[in-house]
Amino acid sequence: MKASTNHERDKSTTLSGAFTKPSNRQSITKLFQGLALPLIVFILWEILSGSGRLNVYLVPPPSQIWDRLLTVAGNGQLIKHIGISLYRVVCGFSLALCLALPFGFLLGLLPGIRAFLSPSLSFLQQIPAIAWIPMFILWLGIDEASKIAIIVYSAFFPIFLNTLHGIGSTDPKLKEVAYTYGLSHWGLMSRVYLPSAAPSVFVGMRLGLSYCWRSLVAAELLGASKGIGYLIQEGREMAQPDLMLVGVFVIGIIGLFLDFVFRRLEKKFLPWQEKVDTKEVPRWQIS
Amino acid sequence: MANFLEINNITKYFKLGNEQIQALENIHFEVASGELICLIGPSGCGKTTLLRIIAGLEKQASGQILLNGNVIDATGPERGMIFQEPRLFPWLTLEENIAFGIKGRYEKRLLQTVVRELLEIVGLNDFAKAWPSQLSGGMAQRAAIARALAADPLILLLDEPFTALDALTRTKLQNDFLHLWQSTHKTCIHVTHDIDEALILGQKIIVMQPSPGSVREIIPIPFTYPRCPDEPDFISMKKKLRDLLVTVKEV
Repeated sequence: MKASTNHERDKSTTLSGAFTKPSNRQSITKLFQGLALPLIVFILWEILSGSGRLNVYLVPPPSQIWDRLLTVAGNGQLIKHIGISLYRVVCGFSLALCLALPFGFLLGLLPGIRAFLSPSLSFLQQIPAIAWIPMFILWLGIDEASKIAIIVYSAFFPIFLNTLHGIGSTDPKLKEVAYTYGLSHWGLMSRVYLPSAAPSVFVGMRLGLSYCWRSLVAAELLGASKGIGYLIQEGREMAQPDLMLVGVFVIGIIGLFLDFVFRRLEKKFLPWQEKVDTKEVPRWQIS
Repeated sequence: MANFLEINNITKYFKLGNEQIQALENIHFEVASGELICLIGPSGCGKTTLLRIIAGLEKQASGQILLNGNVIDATGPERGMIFQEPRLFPWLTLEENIAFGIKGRYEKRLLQTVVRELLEIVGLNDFAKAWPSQLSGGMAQRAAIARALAADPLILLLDEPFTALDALTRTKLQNDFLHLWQSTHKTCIHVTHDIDEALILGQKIIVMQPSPGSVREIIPIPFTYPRCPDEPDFISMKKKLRDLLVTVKEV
């Protein structure tokens, strides 16, 4: 067969756009667009504080928060707290991944078992990780174990459910194609199920990571001597609202950074996804 | 020519609620090596089901299919299936899609040569690294044909492969497919519900009828290729086929 007559047209409309990467200028513009709103808010905030319209104790001005940030960053306090929090997240998240991925895979492949497990799992899924904190402390002590357990618990469900969904929704039409080539069970899993579920798995991991942060900070607020949650708690005990806000903002910035890293990984490992819409619920709809 | 593919008394039932519906009744015909057969019939006559049984994707209730003397009871790479939709794997580039069925069969360099050749045959050499989502419908279906050819099957099974395409692309692909068949001389069973398509392609047209799905008539088409739809012989054959397809056989 030779190329069709609309070959050239197809090439120019569907491929040139897809193969060119966004230029540097475009990404700088995008960055400025994203920063515009927080900048305006901070400037207004500073002006209102300066003119005495805001209670400086209740809402410390951005400049004061910045000073506090520089102080805790300068004396090594901040990095120590971030370090310990990150360590907990990394441990808990990896453990959750090790549990949720194989479990989600297995249940996705064996719908028969699902009927036995899904009511119990739905029940557990309804309980927020924070509700377990006192019990986990009772069982595992106030040390690292209870905090990591809470992170595992909160990251498990989004990863598990999205993996399960990804495997379960593998297109039967594509499975048929694989059958016609006489693929083995292993081949079918690694070459059809796994790549087909990968986008869902990524969505699950990103969600799981953000859930981790939420419950970790809650756990650190309730009982810890280190970590970003503890930093906020310390600010409260010493009546330093600027320190509390430093903690709050640092959490947001780290979360943003981790999400960025995950998006990058997703782009690298799933390049074919770029043109396909990821069916993800917007962040602010989940809580 | 020796009988290459033998379809012997194939019967198939479907369950619809509590009722059992006969989908295929005593289907019996033979295909010679290198032949291009068109299977035509109104929707619901079981032509796709029959093709899927030959592919090994479904099991018959009774009867037997022999390919080169071997009984078919499962899917296998010696039968290349092309579906109505291209069914390309979205996570593989075009060349990886084409290599899907033969990965590991050849060493890497040879595999690359084979894929390049196939891309050339279907006219997609510039698109080796493209993702399926970047292709038009016609291009994707070409790629699907290349993927089926990659395993070098004994027989190609085509399930209405050009139905979903626009009229111009369809005509183009029909011609291209004809050239492909003439140069490779693969045995082909082409399922269609388009009378023109069957007459342009088929050396033999098997007309099927519904409830229960069975073979009504096997018509050899003596015209030489390429066929011209405006010729009187073509038109009279078209009328005959249309009559066969719209009227119900009297018992």
